[in-house]
Amino acid sequence: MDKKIVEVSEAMSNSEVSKDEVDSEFSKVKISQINWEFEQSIKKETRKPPLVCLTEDISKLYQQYEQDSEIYRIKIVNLAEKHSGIRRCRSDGNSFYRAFAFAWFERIMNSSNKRRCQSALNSLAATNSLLNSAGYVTLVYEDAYNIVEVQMKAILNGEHDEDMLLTIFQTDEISNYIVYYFRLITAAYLKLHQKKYEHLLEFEIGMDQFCTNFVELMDQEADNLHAIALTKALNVPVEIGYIDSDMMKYISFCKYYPDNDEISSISRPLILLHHSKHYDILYRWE
Amino acid sequence: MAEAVARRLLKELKDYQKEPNPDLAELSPISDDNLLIWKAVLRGEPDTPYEGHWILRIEIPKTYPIHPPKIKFLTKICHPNISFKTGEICLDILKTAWSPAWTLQSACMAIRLLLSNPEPTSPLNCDAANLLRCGDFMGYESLVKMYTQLYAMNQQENEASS
Repeated sequence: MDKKIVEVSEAMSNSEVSKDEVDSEFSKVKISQINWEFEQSIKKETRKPPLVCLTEDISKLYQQYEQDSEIYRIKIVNLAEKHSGIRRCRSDGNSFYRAFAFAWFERIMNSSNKRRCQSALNSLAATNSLLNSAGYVTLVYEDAYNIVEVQMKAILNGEHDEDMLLTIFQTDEISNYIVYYFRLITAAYLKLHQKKYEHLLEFEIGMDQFCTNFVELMDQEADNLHAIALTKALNVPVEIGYIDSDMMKYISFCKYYPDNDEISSISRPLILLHHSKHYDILYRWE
Repeated sequence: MAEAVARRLLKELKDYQKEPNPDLAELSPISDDNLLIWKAVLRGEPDTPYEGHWILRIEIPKTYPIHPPKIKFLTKICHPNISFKTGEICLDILKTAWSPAWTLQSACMAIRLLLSNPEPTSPLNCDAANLLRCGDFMGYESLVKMYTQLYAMNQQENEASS
Protein backbone atom coordinates (compact mmCIF):
# COMPACT_ATOMS: atom_id res chain seq x y z
CA MET A 1 0.00 0.00 0.00
CA ASP A 2 2.83 2.36 0.80
CA LYS A 3 4.10 1.77 -2.68
CA LYS A 4 0.75 2.86 -4.09
CA ILE A 5 0.86 6.10 -2.18
CA VAL A 6 4.36 6.84 -3.49
CA GLU A 7 3.15 6.13 -6.99
CA VAL A 8 0.24 8.47 -6.53
CA SER A 9 2.39 11.28 -5.20
CA GLU A 10 4.75 10.79 -8.13
CA ALA A 11 1.82 10.93 -10.46
CA MET A 12 0.71 14.16 -8.81
CA SER A 13 4.13 15.75 -9.20
CA ASN A 14 4.12 14.89 -12.85
CA SER A 15 2.39 17.87 -14.39
CA GLU A 16 1.47 16.00 -17.55
CA VAL A 17 -0.89 13.74 -15.68
CA SER A 18 -4.45 15.00 -15.74
CA LYS A 19 -6.42 15.56 -12.55
CA ASP A 20 -8.83 12.74 -13.43
CA GLU A 21 -6.04 10.20 -13.52
CA VAL A 22 -4.82 11.31 -10.11
CA ASP A 23 -8.34 11.06 -8.73
CA SER A 24 -8.73 7.55 -10.08
CA GLU A 25 -5.38 6.58 -8.55
CA PHE A 26 -6.59 7.95 -5.24
CA SER A 27 -9.81 6.01 -5.43
CA LYS A 28 -7.82 2.85 -6.17
CA VAL A 29 -5.82 3.41 -3.00
CA LYS A 30 -9.04 3.99 -1.11
CA ILE A 31 -10.61 0.82 -2.50
CA SER A 32 -7.56 -1.25 -1.66
CA GLN A 33 -7.73 0.21 1.87
CA ILE A 34 -11.40 -0.81 2.15
CA ASN A 35 -10.64 -4.28 0.80
CA TRP A 36 -7.82 -4.64 3.27
CA GLU A 37 -10.07 -3.66 6.19
CA PHE A 38 -12.74 -6.05 4.95
CA GLU A 39 -10.26 -8.91 4.69
CA GLN A 40 -8.99 -8.16 8.18
CA SER A 41 -12.51 -8.22 9.60
CA ILE A 42 -13.15 -11.57 7.91
CA LYS A 43 -9.88 -12.95 9.24
CA LYS A 44 -10.75 -11.76 12.73
CA GLU A 45 -14.15 -13.44 12.49
CA THR A 46 -12.77 -16.71 11.13
CA ARG A 47 -10.17 -16.95 13.89
CA LYS A 48 -13.02 -17.55 16.30
CA PRO A 49 -14.10 -21.18 16.58
CA PRO A 50 -17.58 -21.98 15.18
CA LEU A 51 -20.55 -21.45 17.54
CA VAL A 52 -20.95 -25.24 17.60
CA CYS A 53 -18.20 -27.56 16.29
CA LEU A 54 -18.01 -31.06 14.82
CA THR A 55 -17.73 -33.89 17.33
CA GLU A 56 -14.15 -34.69 18.34
CA ASP A 57 -12.69 -37.74 19.96
CA ILE A 58 -12.48 -37.44 23.74
CA SER A 59 -8.68 -37.70 23.49
CA LYS A 60 -8.67 -34.12 22.17
CA LEU A 61 -9.92 -33.02 25.58
CA TYR A 62 -6.98 -34.83 27.19
CA GLN A 63 -4.57 -33.03 24.85
CA GLN A 64 -6.06 -29.71 25.89
CA TYR A 65 -5.19 -30.37 29.54
CA GLU A 66 -1.81 -32.05 28.91
CA GLN A 67 0.09 -29.08 30.29
CA ASP A 68 -2.12 -28.75 33.36
CA SER A 69 -1.78 -30.49 36.69
CA GLU A 70 -2.02 -34.27 36.85
CA ILE A 71 -5.41 -34.38 38.52
CA TYR A 72 -7.04 -32.98 35.38
CA ARG A 73 -5.50 -35.72 33.25
CA ILE A 74 -6.66 -38.40 35.68
CA LYS A 75 -10.18 -37.00 35.61
CA ILE A 76 -10.26 -36.97 31.82
CA VAL A 77 -8.88 -40.51 31.51
CA ASN A 78 -11.68 -41.63 33.83
CA LEU A 79 -14.20 -39.59 31.87
CA ALA A 80 -13.12 -41.36 28.68
CA GLU A 81 -14.21 -44.70 30.15
CA LYS A 82 -17.83 -43.78 29.64
CA HIS A 83 -17.64 -40.97 27.11
CA SER A 84 -16.52 -41.24 23.52
CA GLY A 85 -16.71 -37.74 22.13
CA ILE A 86 -17.00 -34.05 22.81
CA ARG A 87 -18.66 -31.35 20.77
CA ARG A 88 -17.31 -27.94 21.58
CA CYS A 89 -19.35 -24.75 21.71
CA ARG A 90 -17.89 -21.27 21.46
CA SER A 91 -17.12 -19.74 24.80
CA ASP A 92 -19.12 -16.56 24.21
CA GLY A 93 -21.30 -16.54 27.32
CA ASN A 94 -24.15 -18.33 25.53
CA SER A 95 -22.63 -21.82 25.47
CA PHE A 96 -25.00 -23.36 28.04
CA TYR A 97 -28.12 -22.49 26.06
CA ARG A 98 -26.52 -23.30 22.72
CA ALA A 99 -25.14 -26.64 23.91
CA PHE A 100 -28.45 -27.52 25.56
CA ALA A 101 -30.47 -26.65 22.46
CA PHE A 102 -28.13 -28.43 20.07
CA ALA A 103 -27.94 -31.58 22.19
CA TRP A 104 -31.72 -31.62 22.58
CA PHE A 105 -32.42 -31.11 18.86
CA GLU A 106 -29.82 -33.72 17.93
CA ARG A 107 -31.33 -36.21 20.37
CA ILE A 108 -34.79 -35.70 18.85
CA MET A 109 -33.36 -35.98 15.34
CA ASN A 110 -31.80 -39.35 16.13
CA SER A 111 -34.74 -40.72 18.06
CA SER A 112 -37.01 -43.24 16.42
CA ASN A 113 -39.57 -42.94 19.18
CA LYS A 114 -42.41 -40.90 17.65
CA ARG A 115 -44.19 -40.39 20.95
CA ARG A 116 -41.10 -38.89 22.53
CA CYS A 117 -40.63 -36.54 19.58
CA GLN A 118 -44.22 -35.40 19.83
CA SER A 119 -43.84 -34.75 23.54
CA ALA A 120 -40.79 -32.57 22.80
CA LEU A 121 -42.89 -30.49 20.43
CA ASN A 122 -45.63 -30.27 23.07
CA SER A 123 -43.14 -29.09 25.70
CA LEU A 124 -41.93 -26.43 23.31
CA ALA A 125 -45.47 -25.29 22.51
CA ALA A 126 -46.26 -25.08 26.23
CA THR A 127 -43.50 -22.49 26.72
CA ASN A 128 -45.72 -19.91 25.01
CA SER A 129 -48.16 -19.88 27.90
CA LEU A 130 -45.25 -20.06 30.36
CA LEU A 131 -43.86 -16.81 28.92
CA ASN A 132 -47.31 -15.26 28.94
CA SER A 133 -47.96 -16.08 32.58
CA ALA A 134 -44.54 -14.71 33.51
CA GLY A 135 -45.59 -11.37 32.06
CA TYR A 136 -43.73 -11.33 28.75
CA VAL A 137 -45.59 -9.63 25.92
CA THR A 138 -46.02 -11.64 22.71
CA LEU A 139 -44.02 -9.05 20.81
CA VAL A 140 -40.73 -9.90 22.51
CA TYR A 141 -40.89 -13.65 22.06
CA GLU A 142 -43.03 -14.68 19.09
CA ASP A 143 -40.37 -14.20 16.40
CA ALA A 144 -37.87 -16.21 18.38
CA TYR A 145 -40.48 -18.86 19.12
CA ASN A 146 -41.35 -19.19 15.43
CA ILE A 147 -37.71 -19.73 14.54
CA VAL A 148 -37.31 -22.46 17.16
CA GLU A 149 -40.59 -24.10 16.17
CA VAL A 150 -39.74 -24.13 12.45
CA GLN A 151 -36.46 -25.91 13.20
CA MET A 152 -38.09 -28.37 15.57
CA LYS A 153 -40.75 -29.27 13.02
CA ALA A 154 -38.17 -29.68 10.27
CA ILE A 155 -36.36 -32.13 12.54
CA LEU A 156 -39.53 -34.05 13.32
CA ASN A 157 -40.31 -34.29 9.59
CA GLY A 158 -36.89 -35.70 8.92
CA GLU A 159 -35.82 -32.68 6.83
CA HIS A 160 -32.58 -32.08 8.75
CA ASP A 161 -29.51 -34.27 8.99
CA GLU A 162 -26.54 -33.65 11.28
CA ASP A 163 -24.79 -31.36 8.78
CA MET A 164 -27.90 -29.25 8.39
CA LEU A 165 -28.39 -29.00 12.14
CA LEU A 166 -24.78 -27.91 12.51
CA THR A 167 -25.19 -25.30 9.78
CA ILE A 168 -28.24 -23.90 11.54
CA PHE A 169 -26.42 -23.62 14.83
CA GLN A 170 -23.40 -22.05 13.17
CA THR A 171 -25.51 -19.36 11.50
CA ASP A 172 -25.29 -16.38 13.85
CA GLU A 173 -28.81 -15.08 13.52
CA ILE A 174 -30.77 -18.32 13.79
CA SER A 175 -28.43 -19.64 16.46
CA ASN A 176 -28.71 -16.46 18.54
CA TYR A 177 -32.49 -16.41 18.27
CA ILE A 178 -32.55 -19.98 19.61
CA VAL A 179 -30.27 -18.94 22.49
CA TYR A 180 -32.47 -15.94 23.18
CA TYR A 181 -35.64 -18.05 23.27
CA PHE A 182 -34.07 -20.52 25.70
CA ARG A 183 -32.99 -17.60 27.86
CA LEU A 184 -36.57 -16.31 27.96
CA ILE A 185 -37.92 -19.73 28.94
CA THR A 186 -35.36 -19.92 31.74
CA ALA A 187 -36.24 -16.44 32.98
CA ALA A 188 -39.98 -17.10 32.78
CA TYR A 189 -39.65 -20.29 34.81
CA LEU A 190 -37.61 -18.55 37.49
CA LYS A 191 -40.06 -15.66 37.71
CA LEU A 192 -43.01 -18.01 38.08
CA HIS A 193 -41.23 -19.99 40.81
CA GLN A 194 -39.73 -16.95 42.47
CA LYS A 195 -40.60 -18.08 46.01
CA LYS A 196 -38.83 -21.38 45.59
CA TYR A 197 -35.59 -20.05 44.14
CA GLU A 198 -35.15 -16.46 45.27
CA HIS A 199 -33.21 -17.45 48.40
CA LEU A 200 -30.58 -19.07 46.16
CA LEU A 201 -29.61 -15.78 44.56
CA GLU A 202 -26.11 -14.73 45.54
CA PHE A 203 -26.69 -11.02 45.48
CA GLU A 204 -29.26 -8.94 47.27
CA ILE A 205 -31.40 -8.56 44.20
CA GLY A 206 -34.90 -9.74 43.50
CA MET A 207 -35.72 -12.43 40.95
CA ASP A 208 -36.94 -9.94 38.34
CA GLN A 209 -33.70 -8.01 38.51
CA PHE A 210 -31.72 -11.26 38.41
CA CYS A 211 -33.56 -12.33 35.27
CA THR A 212 -33.02 -8.98 33.58
CA ASN A 213 -29.31 -8.89 34.38
CA PHE A 214 -28.23 -12.52 34.30
CA VAL A 215 -30.74 -14.54 32.28
CA GLU A 216 -32.29 -12.43 29.52
CA LEU A 217 -29.02 -10.66 28.80
CA MET A 218 -27.08 -12.26 25.93
CA ASP A 219 -23.47 -13.32 26.53
CA GLN A 220 -24.01 -13.92 30.27
CA GLU A 221 -23.05 -17.51 31.04
CA ALA A 222 -25.48 -19.73 32.93
CA ASP A 223 -25.12 -21.35 36.35
CA ASN A 224 -26.86 -24.14 38.29
CA LEU A 225 -30.00 -22.12 38.79
CA HIS A 226 -30.37 -21.58 35.05
CA ALA A 227 -29.88 -25.30 34.45
CA ILE A 228 -32.54 -26.21 37.03
CA ALA A 229 -35.03 -23.82 35.44
CA LEU A 230 -34.50 -24.74 31.80
CA THR A 231 -34.61 -28.47 32.56
CA LYS A 232 -37.92 -28.16 34.36
CA ALA A 233 -39.44 -25.71 31.89
CA LEU A 234 -38.77 -27.99 28.90
CA ASN A 235 -39.07 -31.35 30.67
CA VAL A 236 -35.62 -32.37 29.46
CA PRO A 237 -33.25 -34.14 31.87
CA VAL A 238 -29.63 -32.97 31.79
CA GLU A 239 -26.46 -34.07 33.51
CA ILE A 240 -23.59 -31.64 33.75
CA GLY A 241 -20.04 -32.68 34.53
CA TYR A 242 -17.80 -30.10 36.17
CA ILE A 243 -14.03 -30.24 35.68
CA ASP A 244 -12.76 -28.63 38.89
CA SER A 245 -9.32 -28.49 40.43
CA ASP A 246 -10.41 -30.53 43.47
CA MET A 247 -8.51 -33.74 44.18
CA MET A 248 -11.32 -36.14 43.22
CA LYS A 249 -10.31 -38.59 40.51
CA TYR A 250 -13.71 -38.54 38.89
CA ILE A 251 -15.54 -35.64 37.35
CA SER A 252 -18.66 -35.04 39.37
CA PHE A 253 -21.89 -35.02 37.40
CA CYS A 254 -24.83 -32.99 38.64
CA LYS A 255 -28.25 -34.31 37.71
CA TYR A 256 -30.89 -31.79 36.68
CA TYR A 257 -34.15 -33.63 36.28
CA PRO A 258 -37.62 -32.34 35.49
CA ASP A 259 -40.49 -32.69 37.99
CA ASN A 260 -42.17 -35.20 35.73
CA ASP A 261 -40.68 -38.55 36.83
CA GLU A 262 -42.07 -40.41 33.87
CA ILE A 263 -40.06 -38.32 31.45
CA SER A 264 -36.89 -38.67 33.50
CA SER A 265 -37.24 -42.42 33.42
CA ILE A 266 -37.88 -42.81 29.70
CA SER A 267 -35.53 -40.24 28.19
CA ARG A 268 -31.78 -40.41 28.50
CA PRO A 269 -30.38 -37.15 29.85
CA LEU A 270 -28.40 -34.74 27.70
CA ILE A 271 -24.78 -34.63 28.86
CA LEU A 272 -22.90 -31.35 29.10
CA LEU A 273 -19.41 -30.63 30.36
CA HIS A 274 -18.55 -27.42 32.17
CA HIS A 275 -14.89 -26.48 31.93
CA SER A 276 -12.80 -23.38 31.17
CA LYS A 277 -15.82 -21.22 32.07
CA HIS A 278 -18.10 -22.63 29.38
CA TYR A 279 -20.17 -25.67 28.39
CA ASP A 280 -19.53 -28.34 25.73
CA ILE A 281 -21.60 -31.39 24.76
CA LEU A 282 -20.46 -34.90 25.75
CA TYR A 283 -21.40 -38.19 24.11
CA ARG A 284 -21.54 -41.45 26.06
CA TRP A 285 -20.52 -44.77 24.53
CA GLU A 286 -23.63 -46.37 23.12
CA MET B 1 -33.35 -13.38 7.89
CA ALA B 2 -33.18 -9.70 7.00
CA GLU B 3 -36.98 -9.81 7.10
CA ALA B 4 -36.82 -10.85 10.74
CA VAL B 5 -35.93 -7.32 11.82
CA ALA B 6 -38.58 -5.80 9.53
CA ARG B 7 -41.22 -8.16 10.85
CA ARG B 8 -40.40 -7.33 14.43
CA LEU B 9 -40.33 -3.56 13.77
CA LEU B 10 -43.71 -3.62 12.03
CA LYS B 11 -45.13 -5.45 15.02
CA GLU B 12 -43.69 -2.85 17.35
CA LEU B 13 -45.21 -0.10 15.23
CA LYS B 14 -48.62 -1.76 15.26
CA ASP B 15 -48.35 -2.35 18.96
CA TYR B 16 -47.67 1.34 19.61
CA GLN B 17 -50.45 2.48 17.29
CA LYS B 18 -52.95 0.11 18.84
CA GLU B 19 -52.29 1.36 22.33
CA PRO B 20 -50.94 4.92 22.22
CA ASN B 21 -48.65 5.76 25.09
CA PRO B 22 -49.42 9.16 26.66
CA ASP B 23 -45.75 9.62 27.59
CA LEU B 24 -44.62 8.96 24.04
CA ALA B 25 -46.23 11.45 21.66
CA GLU B 26 -44.77 9.78 18.61
CA LEU B 27 -42.94 6.60 17.65
CA SER B 28 -42.56 5.68 13.99
CA PRO B 29 -40.12 5.22 11.12
CA ILE B 30 -39.18 8.57 9.58
CA SER B 31 -39.97 7.36 6.05
CA ASP B 32 -41.84 4.49 4.44
CA ASP B 33 -38.81 3.20 2.58
CA ASN B 34 -36.42 2.88 5.48
CA LEU B 35 -37.69 0.93 8.46
CA LEU B 36 -34.34 1.16 10.21
CA ILE B 37 -34.51 4.83 11.20
CA TRP B 38 -37.22 5.95 13.59
CA LYS B 39 -38.23 9.10 15.35
CA ALA B 40 -39.72 9.29 18.80
CA VAL B 41 -41.14 12.22 20.73
CA LEU B 42 -40.95 11.91 24.51
CA ARG B 43 -43.16 13.90 26.84
CA GLY B 44 -41.06 14.87 29.82
CA GLU B 45 -42.59 14.22 33.23
CA PRO B 46 -44.98 17.02 34.29
CA ASP B 47 -43.82 19.30 37.13
CA THR B 48 -40.18 18.50 36.49
CA PRO B 49 -37.65 20.72 34.71
CA TYR B 50 -37.92 18.33 31.75
CA GLU B 51 -41.61 18.98 31.09
CA GLY B 52 -41.57 19.46 27.33
CA HIS B 53 -41.29 17.57 24.04
CA TRP B 54 -38.05 15.75 23.29
CA ILE B 55 -37.25 14.36 19.88
CA LEU B 56 -35.19 11.19 19.66
CA ARG B 57 -33.56 9.64 16.64
CA ILE B 58 -33.47 5.84 16.69
CA GLU B 59 -31.13 3.92 14.43
CA ILE B 60 -31.81 0.19 14.32
CA PRO B 61 -29.13 -2.36 13.37
CA LYS B 62 -30.03 -5.25 11.05
CA THR B 63 -29.34 -7.60 13.95
CA TYR B 64 -32.02 -5.98 16.16
CA PRO B 65 -33.36 -7.10 18.64
CA ILE B 66 -30.32 -9.25 19.45
CA HIS B 67 -28.33 -6.00 19.39
CA PRO B 68 -29.57 -2.66 20.78
CA PRO B 69 -30.80 0.32 18.76
CA LYS B 70 -28.74 3.50 18.73
CA ILE B 71 -30.80 6.27 20.29
CA LYS B 72 -29.85 9.92 20.63
CA PHE B 73 -31.55 13.21 21.41
CA LEU B 74 -32.14 15.53 18.47
CA THR B 75 -33.57 18.20 20.76
CA LYS B 76 -30.80 19.92 22.69
CA ILE B 77 -31.01 18.86 26.31
CA CYS B 78 -29.14 19.68 29.48
CA HIS B 79 -28.71 16.46 31.46
CA PRO B 80 -25.69 14.90 33.20
CA ASN B 81 -25.87 11.67 31.15
CA ILE B 82 -26.65 13.15 27.75
CA SER B 83 -24.12 14.92 25.57
CA PHE B 84 -25.15 18.53 25.02
CA LYS B 85 -23.34 18.60 21.70
CA THR B 86 -24.27 15.27 20.08
CA GLY B 87 -27.32 14.10 22.02
CA GLU B 88 -25.58 10.81 22.83
CA ILE B 89 -27.13 9.03 25.81
CA CYS B 90 -25.19 7.17 28.49
CA LEU B 91 -27.57 4.44 29.62
CA ASP B 92 -26.59 0.83 30.29
CA ILE B 93 -29.56 -0.76 28.52
CA LEU B 94 -28.50 0.92 25.27
CA LYS B 95 -25.10 -0.70 25.60
CA THR B 96 -24.03 -3.63 27.76
CA ALA B 97 -27.32 -4.27 29.56
CA TRP B 98 -29.45 -4.56 26.42
CA SER B 99 -31.48 -7.73 25.98
CA PRO B 100 -33.94 -8.61 23.21
CA ALA B 101 -36.72 -8.50 25.79
CA TRP B 102 -36.58 -4.70 25.48
CA THR B 103 -38.56 -2.95 22.75
CA LEU B 104 -38.13 0.48 21.16
CA GLN B 105 -41.02 1.68 23.30
CA SER B 106 -39.65 0.33 26.57
CA ALA B 107 -36.21 1.71 25.71
CA CYS B 108 -37.76 5.17 25.17
CA MET B 109 -39.51 4.85 28.54
CA ALA B 110 -36.19 3.99 30.18
CA ILE B 111 -34.72 7.15 28.67
CA ARG B 112 -37.66 9.15 29.99
CA LEU B 113 -37.00 7.70 33.43
CA LEU B 114 -33.34 8.66 33.16
CA LEU B 115 -34.36 12.31 32.79
CA SER B 116 -35.65 12.52 36.36
CA ASN B 117 -33.07 10.04 37.70
CA PRO B 118 -29.68 11.35 36.59
CA GLU B 119 -26.51 9.45 37.42
CA PRO B 120 -23.92 12.19 38.00
CA THR B 121 -21.07 9.69 38.49
CA SER B 122 -20.88 8.81 34.79
CA PRO B 123 -21.44 12.18 33.15
CA LEU B 124 -21.49 13.12 29.49
CA ASN B 125 -22.33 16.68 30.48
CA CYS B 126 -19.88 17.67 33.22
CA ASP B 127 -21.35 21.11 33.86
CA ALA B 128 -24.75 19.66 34.70
CA ALA B 129 -23.21 16.79 36.67
CA ASN B 130 -20.99 19.13 38.70
CA LEU B 131 -23.95 21.21 39.86
CA LEU B 132 -25.64 18.03 41.10
CA ARG B 133 -22.47 16.67 42.66
CA CYS B 134 -21.93 19.77 44.75
CA GLY B 135 -25.59 19.70 45.77
CA ASP B 136 -26.66 22.87 43.97
CA PHE B 137 -30.12 21.56 43.05
CA MET B 138 -31.55 25.05 42.56
CA GLY B 139 -28.80 25.94 40.13
CA TYR B 140 -29.22 22.61 38.36
CA GLU B 141 -32.96 22.95 37.98
CA SER B 142 -32.85 26.49 36.68
CA LEU B 143 -30.13 25.60 34.16
CA VAL B 144 -32.14 22.61 32.93
CA LYS B 145 -35.35 24.65 32.81
CA MET B 146 -33.67 27.35 30.78
CA TYR B 147 -32.65 24.88 28.07
CA THR B 148 -36.01 23.11 28.20
CA GLN B 149 -37.75 26.45 27.59
CA LEU B 150 -35.31 27.28 24.84
CA TYR B 151 -35.53 24.01 22.92
CA ALA B 152 -38.29 21.67 24.11
CA MET B 153 -41.33 23.87 24.68
CA ASN B 154 -42.38 24.54 21.13
CA GLN B 155 -42.54 21.33 19.17
CA GLN B 156 -43.18 22.82 15.74
CA GLU B 157 -40.15 25.06 15.89
CA ASN B 158 -38.13 22.19 17.12
CA GLU B 159 -39.08 19.97 14.25
CA ALA B 160 -38.27 22.69 11.75
CA SER B 161 -34.78 23.08 13.16
CA SER B 162 -34.03 19.37 13.25
